[in-house]
Amino acid sequence: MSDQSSTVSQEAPGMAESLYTPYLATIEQAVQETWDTRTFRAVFCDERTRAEFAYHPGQFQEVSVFGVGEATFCLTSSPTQKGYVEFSVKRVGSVTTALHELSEGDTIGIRGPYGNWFPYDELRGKNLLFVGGGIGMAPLRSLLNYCLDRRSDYGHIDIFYGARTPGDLCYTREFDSWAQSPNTALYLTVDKGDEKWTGHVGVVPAHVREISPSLDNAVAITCGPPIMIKFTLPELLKLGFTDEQILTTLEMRMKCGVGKCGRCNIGHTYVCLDGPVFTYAQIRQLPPEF
Amino acid sequence: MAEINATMLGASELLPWALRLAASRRVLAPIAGTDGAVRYLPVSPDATLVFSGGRPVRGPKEHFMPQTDPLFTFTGSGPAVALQPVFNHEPAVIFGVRPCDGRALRSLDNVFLRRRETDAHYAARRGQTIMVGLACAEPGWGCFCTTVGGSPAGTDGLDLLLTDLGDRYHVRILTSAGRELLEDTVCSPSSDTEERLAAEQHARAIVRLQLAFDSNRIAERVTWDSPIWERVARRCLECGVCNFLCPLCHCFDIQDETTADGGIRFRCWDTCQFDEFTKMGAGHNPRAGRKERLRQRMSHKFKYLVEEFGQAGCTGCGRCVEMCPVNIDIRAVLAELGTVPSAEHPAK
Repeated sequence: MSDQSSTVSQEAPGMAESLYTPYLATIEQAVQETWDTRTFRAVFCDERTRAEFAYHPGQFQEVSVFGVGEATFCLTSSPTQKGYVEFSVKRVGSVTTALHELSEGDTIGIRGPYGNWFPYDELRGKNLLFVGGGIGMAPLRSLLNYCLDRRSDYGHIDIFYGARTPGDLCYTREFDSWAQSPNTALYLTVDKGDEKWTGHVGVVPAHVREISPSLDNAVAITCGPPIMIKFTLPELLKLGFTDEQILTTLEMRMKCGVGKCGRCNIGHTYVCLDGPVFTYAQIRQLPPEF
Repeated sequence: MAEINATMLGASELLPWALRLAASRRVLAPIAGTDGAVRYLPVSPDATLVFSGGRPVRGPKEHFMPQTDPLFTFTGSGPAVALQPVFNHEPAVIFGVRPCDGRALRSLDNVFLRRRETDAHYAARRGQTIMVGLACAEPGWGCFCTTVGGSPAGTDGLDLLLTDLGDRYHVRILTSAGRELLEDTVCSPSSDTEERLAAEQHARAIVRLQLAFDSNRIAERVTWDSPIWERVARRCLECGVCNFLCPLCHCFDIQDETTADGGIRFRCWDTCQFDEFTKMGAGHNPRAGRKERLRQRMSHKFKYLVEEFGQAGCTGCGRCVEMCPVNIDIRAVLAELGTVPSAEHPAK
């Protein structure tokens, strides 16, 4: 009988090889988007990391506040924006609260980029329909700004974005540049207006139904609270999008981000490895557990 | 010269061999702790190695995946914070590894070495540890290794396999690392009689292990809508014992602990049976009930891992069967799956 293979005798690994050690980064800018959401712009401390860190719209990273912990955030900047990365943080727990208490100049850790990404190459030449709700706009913004920075590569772009109230809308400082981009339309709505709001009032799926954008050769990309997705999907199907033409990005509690800790699976799919970007066709194959 | 694949080791040689090895590496063996529970502890001259009975209640998983496993330390603050990865491994030998626990390492290898990136912390320990197995003469009452493709004399994941023949051990040599280890002790050739005695012991143990369920096409029978989940999960206490004692459950949490001048980021055992396991910051929990969590445990072990690696996440060690405080018996659940149609349950 021949020896079975043994895994004995491997060399001891060095620092670069641990999956769990983050890069160091400095907070360059912190913008208060809403009462509970801040967008951070971070620059890697190490020059080589700054030059080499490359990501695609749709990917995520694990952000550390040393001593408090790590949490998952999608990259909300576009890779066309050089020299920094951005992520938006909604204050809901201990790590997010600790992040909110940081100032410009503070040091954080970043591991990533992880996950798959929006197929921006395959979207070239297509008309795009973005449908975002609340903080769900964060991952969409990465793809949206990418497309707007490569404007001639993409067709007509419709952006539907809504939040509970005007005060919950994120990225308001970019609305003008989105709306004024050529061949691009921005449709904002809020569930409930205030005394200053003069825009549309109504939930995002209803707004989509009212405007009924007719786009052929189009792909829809949507992200938002589960309730918004639930009612948006039928509207998209009614508009003629097939399951393959609807993209979304899922969120699950994550820890390692690299498919080891076993936490983020939906069925046999790990959101950190095979997602977070999925087509609706893929989602229909998954067990209803997210 | 033809390589021999079996040899004999006198029983009285075992502890001295282990102690000699301990001079240059970490040597673990099943030893009863102060609480009476047998776990894999470092050998010492007065140690009593516990080789009899069923597999030890705590397996060698904790050597490869420590319950609390430092990943890196951080010292200082601000841009001057310094991160130092922790790779605390050393050459090691583990004696008395039962075949179910050896085979379990293959499942851990699938996750930590084969799925996408290599986990260097795990790989370092795995690469430096030699596993000296022990065939089971008396399987525990909860054992069912043969049901899931294993054997009380299985060799998967082991470098040597010892069979206890009373005053001596039959030693089956499985890898070059095992062969090299034997150079530190005195062996004698095995005879046909001894080969037969070992084989007979293995056969007797196998006969004692009745097939608990049909493992054929098990992945198909683990259905999403089975009424079994609700019924069985009702009594789960979410104590986590099943996951913690399982030789191949690997799910972990990552946390920080602060010290005077910085802190440690570590990972620690976690369990999919805890409510918080999938609970998100804003409160949404895709597995909010015990039924969903039990379904996840069974599906992960007998469906998802089978679909991904062709190997179930269970080696039939029986620990969860014997230790669950409310007697949730994984064998009974699997036996019943596929026999009770989903349509039967009106509430679904």
